[in-house]
Amino acid sequence: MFRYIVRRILWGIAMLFIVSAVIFLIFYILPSADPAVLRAGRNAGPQQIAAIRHVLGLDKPIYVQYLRYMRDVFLHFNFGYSYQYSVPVRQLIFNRLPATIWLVIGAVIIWLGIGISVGIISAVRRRSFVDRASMTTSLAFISAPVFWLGLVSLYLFAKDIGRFKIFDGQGSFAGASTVFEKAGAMLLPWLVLAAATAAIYARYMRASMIDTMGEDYIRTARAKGLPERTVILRHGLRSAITPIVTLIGLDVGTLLAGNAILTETVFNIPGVGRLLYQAISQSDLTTIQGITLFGAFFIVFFNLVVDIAYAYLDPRVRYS
Amino acid sequence: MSVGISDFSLEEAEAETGAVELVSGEIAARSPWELFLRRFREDKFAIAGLAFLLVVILAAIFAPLVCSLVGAPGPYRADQNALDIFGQPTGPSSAHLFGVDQIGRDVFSRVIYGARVSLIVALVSCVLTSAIGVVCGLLAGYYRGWVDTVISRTVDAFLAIPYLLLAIGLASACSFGNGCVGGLIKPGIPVVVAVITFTSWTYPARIIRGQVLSLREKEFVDASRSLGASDFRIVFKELLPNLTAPIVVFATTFLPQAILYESALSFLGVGVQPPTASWGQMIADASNNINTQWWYMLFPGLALLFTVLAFNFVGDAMTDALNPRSKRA
Repeated sequence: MFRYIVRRILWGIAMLFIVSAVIFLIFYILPSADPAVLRAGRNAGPQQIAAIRHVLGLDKPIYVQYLRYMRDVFLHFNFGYSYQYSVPVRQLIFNRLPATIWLVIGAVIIWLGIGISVGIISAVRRRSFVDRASMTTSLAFISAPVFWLGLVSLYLFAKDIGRFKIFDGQGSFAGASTVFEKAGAMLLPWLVLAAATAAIYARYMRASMIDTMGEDYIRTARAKGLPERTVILRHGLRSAITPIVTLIGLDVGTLLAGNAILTETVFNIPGVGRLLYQAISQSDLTTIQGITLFGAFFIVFFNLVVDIAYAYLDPRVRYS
Repeated sequence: MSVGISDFSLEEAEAETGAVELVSGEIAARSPWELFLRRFREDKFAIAGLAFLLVVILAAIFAPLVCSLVGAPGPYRADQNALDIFGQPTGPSSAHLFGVDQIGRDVFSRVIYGARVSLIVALVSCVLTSAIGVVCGLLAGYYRGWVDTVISRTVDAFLAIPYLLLAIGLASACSFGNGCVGGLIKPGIPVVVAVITFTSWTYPARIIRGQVLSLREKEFVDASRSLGASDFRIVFKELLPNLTAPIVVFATTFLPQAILYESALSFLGVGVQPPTASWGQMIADASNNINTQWWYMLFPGLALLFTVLAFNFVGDAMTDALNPRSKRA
């Protein structure tokens, strides 16, 4: 187990280097606009632009720029500097992270609860009406764009503008102070963000559960005379749930990294995604690059956690 | 990204067709294509989805005709008279079936024209994504060694980058001025297609690589090589035809995702540029006034939902029909 963990950590670090290089290259090659010109503002003369280019190191050859960038990222944990706000991108991200964490944790709990239980019920009652209805519904939730689902749910259920005034509306999270108020403000965003993922998990869980319930040891468990409930929950679920664990890490990683941008934009939640949205509208490329890199770090980290958890759950992985 | 792809297995599809050839002496032989059709037809949702998609495709192709048939003024005409006395948009009426937007443009026309953008982006990015992914997967799986290492590590790195963030970064970088890569990729639909392809080719690459790794050990590859076939011939004439099923499954599951992807980018303002009508961008325009002007948000959203749902129904049925022992049914 120890050897396995060390190997995964080393691989994770190597991954960080590769990912940083890829992101650096992409943002170096692609933009047609000159960052120094953007930084200088509208009324800058050529000398000012040249001076800024020199200060930012943009006049150096690409490999020097790359080494500087890698040094900043890995030694100083510096993800760049936002020219728009005149603060380090890292600080911007850390200011916004709590709201995103709030959003993601609640959504994860909801989608796991709904996804796993619907998946189990569908698998156990395969081809029944319940199964068909829940699988068709899940496909509808996968097909609905999350930002539209958010707007429709606000139109229907928000306290300020909704037809049925049940949940707190747009922007209420920013004004909430106590934990209960915050949770109340998050209820609708949680449900909306969880909807599509819960549907995907339900479908995965169902397939995995059907697979598992066909195994010989399940037949053995039944033959021993165990109640069906025990067979499903103790014997079936334990092995059927392992593939789901791999999904969770990646999904949580990408959401924390800013993939919740659509939900955050619709509900006006001041999270990392919202920061990214503002950066887009202000063409603040360094912030976008910083958030992307930061997000990649998140994903690599969560993948590492998942790999280790998976090895713990399924010993076969450790020895292959 | 890859719902339903993972449980696909080529061996099973092969076993199925192999069995048919065995019994072809006694019973009427059915080609794999006939078998596929028979199984596909059993899925009522998929047939309904296919019919709906046909309507959407026809409406997109003949958009001007559809608009003139219902007397809609077209997607770009801002009609001041369609606004009420306070300058606010009016809702659905006989003149404007789906109402008008903030500057008096007909929502029905824009929804119909929006289908063009969605379908073009989805089709082109699906073809490009599959092509790049399949070629990379074939090369990595067939040559193995350093080719495989380079491609596989690049794929791993791409999978570790949050794709939506990368897409947004690229799209906004490319939407300044006259595009990116020296003006090769212009803002608007080309940028959207490029970004979707750039962030998605890794999925088919991984699937195809896995399939090729096992296919290349089969006897028919040895046979072909012993007859003196070149690598090029083995890869494209021997291996590629055997990958039809996984490629079709990938393409059909990817199409709806590409539509959602385009709408998300356009919603965030880095996708299709105004005044071109796109469903995602219409919803973004509508999001400030959903309370009073529900129609402007509702109809593009429904168009998106139904189109994507139809694609998903068809995609699911195709996956099942190509893989009869799938666990879904």
